[in-house]
Amino acid sequence: MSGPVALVIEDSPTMRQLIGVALKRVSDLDLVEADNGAIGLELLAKQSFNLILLDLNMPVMGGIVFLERLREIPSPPPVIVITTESAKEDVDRALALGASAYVMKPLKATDLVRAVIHVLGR
Amino acid sequence: MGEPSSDEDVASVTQIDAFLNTLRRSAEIAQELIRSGAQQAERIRSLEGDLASARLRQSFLETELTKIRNLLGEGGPDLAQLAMLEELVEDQNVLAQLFVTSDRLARVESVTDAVAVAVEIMHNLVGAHRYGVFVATERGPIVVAPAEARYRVKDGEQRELLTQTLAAPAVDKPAQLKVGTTPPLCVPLRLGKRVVGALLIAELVPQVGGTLGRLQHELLSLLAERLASSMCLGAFHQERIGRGEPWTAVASSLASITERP
Repeated sequence: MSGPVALVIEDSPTMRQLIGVALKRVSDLDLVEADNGAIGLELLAKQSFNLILLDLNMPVMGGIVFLERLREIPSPPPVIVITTESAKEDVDRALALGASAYVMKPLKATDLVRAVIHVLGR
Repeated sequence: MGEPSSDEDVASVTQIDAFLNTLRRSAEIAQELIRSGAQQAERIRSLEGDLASARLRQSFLETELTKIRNLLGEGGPDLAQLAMLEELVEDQNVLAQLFVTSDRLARVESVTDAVAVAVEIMHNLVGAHRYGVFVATERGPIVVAPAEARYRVKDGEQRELLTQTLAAPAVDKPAQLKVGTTPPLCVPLRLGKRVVGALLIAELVPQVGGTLGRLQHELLSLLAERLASSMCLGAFHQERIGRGEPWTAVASSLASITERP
């Protein structure tokens, strides 16, 4: 992998596939998938990532707990939250825990691509 | 004439002093006038510089204005083209979601797989907040998804709408399935010429605006056409794998095709 690598933490295979299709427009971006926050943390311990795309509502370890744990890691990658929760407090909590941006489900490919390009500083 | 008196001398000296003062004052005034003239000349030069700069700016703006007029008036990216571009971006978004939906429905390996895919699509892509996936049984329609009660329609909710949808001929497009419709709405699940179930949406998430948008319309149309056959595919796959012969039936069918005269 020569380009930036994004870790997609999302329990829905459909969403993971849709994210993959949408992000084909971001050249050189490779994706690694995890279906909950705990697996995401395991992958972070083994590999470095340039970006994390994070669902909030997941079994085993949800996005908020993941963000709390991520703060214990020195220089963590930026996080874009993807969530169905329209409640502002969930998004506010994620942003307070260090998330860089958020995108709401139902997912619009263009919104996601814009957020990724912005966070990667391209 | 005699010599002037002392008083006359004093008067003459005073007059001379006054004259000299007047001359000095005149000289000062002349110097001030010269200085003022120089300042005015400087100011005029500065104003001329400003005027030249303003003329350049005016010229630049006129050129830019001409360019904009040309773009708007002579085949540039006019508003109609921008609107078309937006539509293309939206088309791409819809196609990406339809592709993923179709692909996921085609890969199921069990009935529960098919139901799980339907739930993911309803929840994550359509933006259904409270809904039900119903299948028709001999005992009447039963709700099979979603599992989480907070997202599931209540027992008996929209029963009349559900009954009407299940009773309608499969060829009929449901009246509710139009862009801009506000829930509740019910879409029949078709299997060939039969209606074998329904998707009932009581509420959409606020992000989709509370009404059926183009994306939701396309996704529900696809689900209505494919979900039942995807369930059948899942059942077939499950049954054959259970018997250890996932490909036997298909291979037999293919063999019988080639054996036909």
